[in-house]
Amino acid sequence: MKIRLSASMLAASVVDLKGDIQQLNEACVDFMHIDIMDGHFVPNLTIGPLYVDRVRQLSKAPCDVHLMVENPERFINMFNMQAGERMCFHIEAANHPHRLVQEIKKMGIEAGIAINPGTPLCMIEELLPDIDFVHVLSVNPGFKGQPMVPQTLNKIYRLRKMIDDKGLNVDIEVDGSVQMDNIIQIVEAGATTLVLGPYTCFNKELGGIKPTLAKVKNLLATHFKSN
Amino acid sequence: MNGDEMMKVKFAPSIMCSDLSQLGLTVKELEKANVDMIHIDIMDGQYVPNIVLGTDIVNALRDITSLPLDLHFMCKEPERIISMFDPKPGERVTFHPETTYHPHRLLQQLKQRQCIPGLVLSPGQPLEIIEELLPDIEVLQLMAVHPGFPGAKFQWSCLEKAKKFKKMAESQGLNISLSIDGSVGPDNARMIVEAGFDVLILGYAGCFAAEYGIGEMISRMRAICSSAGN
Repeated sequence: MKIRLSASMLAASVVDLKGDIQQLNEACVDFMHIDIMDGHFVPNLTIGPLYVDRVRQLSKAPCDVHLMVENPERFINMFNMQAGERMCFHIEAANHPHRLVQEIKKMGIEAGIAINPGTPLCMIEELLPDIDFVHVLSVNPGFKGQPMVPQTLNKIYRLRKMIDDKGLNVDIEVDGSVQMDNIIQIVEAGATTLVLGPYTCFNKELGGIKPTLAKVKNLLATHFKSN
Repeated sequence: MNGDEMMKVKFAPSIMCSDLSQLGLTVKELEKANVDMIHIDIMDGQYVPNIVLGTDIVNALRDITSLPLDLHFMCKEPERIISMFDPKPGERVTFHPETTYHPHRLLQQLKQRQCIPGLVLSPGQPLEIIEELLPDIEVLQLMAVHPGFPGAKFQWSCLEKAKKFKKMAESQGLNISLSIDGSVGPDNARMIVEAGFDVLILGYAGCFAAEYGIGEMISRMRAICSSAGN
């Protein structure tokens, strides 16, 4: 299976977003991952629909909107989502996740559910047949550049097995601290989409966006022939 | 009263209405146009049905410009959210009084941070709800639109409210800066200045209109404001 790459816009340049998007277009990422934080569900507050609109105008890749908010049902319709895009919300924040998944699907986009490091898989097991992807946080959400919570790898492995045992086709998107030295393990555990931030996409030490992504793609291609 | 006698009007362009993909360029143009501060709307999607700008943008602005920031918090639990933005000395910080049980305490906390503390009233909210807080604020911001989205319809009622407020503040011997926020542009600027506002927060209509550049919009606005009262 092809591993898809989603660029985390939280790590993109704030001052010259346009320049970064141009480079991401040239590097052919699969998604633009945009974190929406409300300051209540997570201890940080970020950007919203105006930013998503602008990214959508400039980017070749579809938007991957991650709602880190309380009352996600109030937010899902704010973003003018387009076919080919995806949106996820946190299971911990939703009172009626099954209903919310249906409403997101009604918009003609992929629906996902996000889980924090401390959230057990049983919380989403009943919803797996209804969703397109699970968004697994490997850090506590809110800030870029945190170290990976170590038990995440095992959780991804168990989630992949759970999905396979049910005969379902659900994408596992892993978000948080995806680095050069753990990326192979994350994919081997069962991840099929990777959110790339300061280490594996916007890495100045590796020469910036394009050389960093080239290195990631090369690493994946060497280990997994299909990529 | 002629233009020279009026208090100098300040311009605070609202960065939400700019092209968010070119923040660096926009700030350079604003500096060149000699604006007085940068207005930043902070919404949590809970108090108002929108989210626009966050900590990263505020921190980036602090890095790239010495223009003072005017932070307008439209959120629940403002104490917590304001701390996330860590307001600096000299920055204006305003919030909506009904979003906290303890507006007086929050105003004191802002003063301790050496910020310029202020309150915001939406259309339909009477001045009387902040009467007891007047000695503790340095700024009052009146919304000329319902907060949440740019480009909404200008509510003329804010002009009468401004006149009433000026009297209220004068009778208490207070000198409080008065800002107006929402659909301020060439069509209404003159009446706004004559009503007593000294800070104009400018969005699409007054600064970022796509058909003109920032520099041209600001000089048009400056010409209109300086002729007000004549």
